[in-house]
Amino acid sequence: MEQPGLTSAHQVNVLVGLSQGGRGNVVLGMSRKGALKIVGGMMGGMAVTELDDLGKSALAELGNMLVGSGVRAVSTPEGLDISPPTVVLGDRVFLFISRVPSRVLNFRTEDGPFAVRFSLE
Amino acid sequence: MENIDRDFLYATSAEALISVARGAAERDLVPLESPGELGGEKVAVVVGLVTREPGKKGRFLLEMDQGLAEDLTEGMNGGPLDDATELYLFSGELLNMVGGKALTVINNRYRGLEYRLTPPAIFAGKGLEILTPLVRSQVTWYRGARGVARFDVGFEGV
Amino acid sequence: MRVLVIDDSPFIFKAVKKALEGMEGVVVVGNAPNGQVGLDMVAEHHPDVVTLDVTMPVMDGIATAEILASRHPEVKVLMLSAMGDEDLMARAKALGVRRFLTKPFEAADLRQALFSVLRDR
Repeated sequence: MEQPGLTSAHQVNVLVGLSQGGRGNVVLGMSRKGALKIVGGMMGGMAVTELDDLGKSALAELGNMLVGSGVRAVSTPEGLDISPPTVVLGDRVFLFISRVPSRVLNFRTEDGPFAVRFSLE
Repeated sequence: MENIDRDFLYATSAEALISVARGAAERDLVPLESPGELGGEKVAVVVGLVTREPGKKGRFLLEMDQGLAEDLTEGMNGGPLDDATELYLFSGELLNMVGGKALTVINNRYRGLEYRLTPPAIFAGKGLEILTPLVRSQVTWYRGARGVARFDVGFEGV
Repeated sequence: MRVLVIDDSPFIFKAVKKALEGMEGVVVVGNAPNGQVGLDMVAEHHPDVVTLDVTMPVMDGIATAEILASRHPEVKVLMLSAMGDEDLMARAKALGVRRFLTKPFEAADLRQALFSVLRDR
């Protein structure tokens, strides 16, 4: 459990906010190389060499699907709901997602790291 | 649910930004006629707007030159900040208040929407590219004493 | 008048303290970052009035107002929120909260609201 504060983010980040039945943020983080691989997979296995508008849209949809399915699995009486995803790219990105401690799930893929950082107030 | 006037949403949101900058930070943000240019180091704050009404979610994105973010948050604090974390905390609080102010008006005008905000997320760094592909947005630009801000207000299919 | 600030925003705590600075007979007894800590601090510091934020982690303002009404009915509540829509205010009023101020607030409005709520029976 990490304390609130500015933390180093990945080259490609997808932010999804949570509200209604609770409040929080989820950020998917990955390398640019990993993002290209994921986008290629989402587009039926084609090789993708740059993140164009379609690719960024696919990443947003990834956030929608991943976080949306996670939220549906967590049933609260009021029903958590998600915001539209925001994609953040950069080579040196720092992020601050909550005043409360957050958790990070770190995964390793053959194309680099994949992290899920989330906080729920 | 009646049709939603997109221009009303945009205008209400822009008014909220200027009003909160003045009220909370005692700073004036001057609207620019044409797009400005953000410098290298940026502070960007995102809040999501969530409603149970299908297809009407949204988000506010405020991107600022770091100097402008420092100026606004120093205004909120009444002086220099204690540490770097306060820059991000206060920046988040600023957009939270902007969102709250705008949504108060919007929720009262369109009963049943009941928009609620997600907590602010802050991104900082050089050369950030930030986009929300699944919404249609309007961008307005502002100048403050120590830099420029880009305010991007977007809603799904409204 | 003893005032307790229940709000997770350091900015709001500073703003309330600044608004009440130098006022004779008024003291800000502390700041609680959520409703749960706030209830503990009410029991410890016996404030006359609390300023109560709506969206806070752990225990939000609505839940806190409900408990305050039953456990400490003598403590007056001024609800502060970035959101002030009619549905939210109606929920607060149903819990006995009679004064509501939206953020950001003018110092004079805060002072007036605090003194008004203190006079409420």
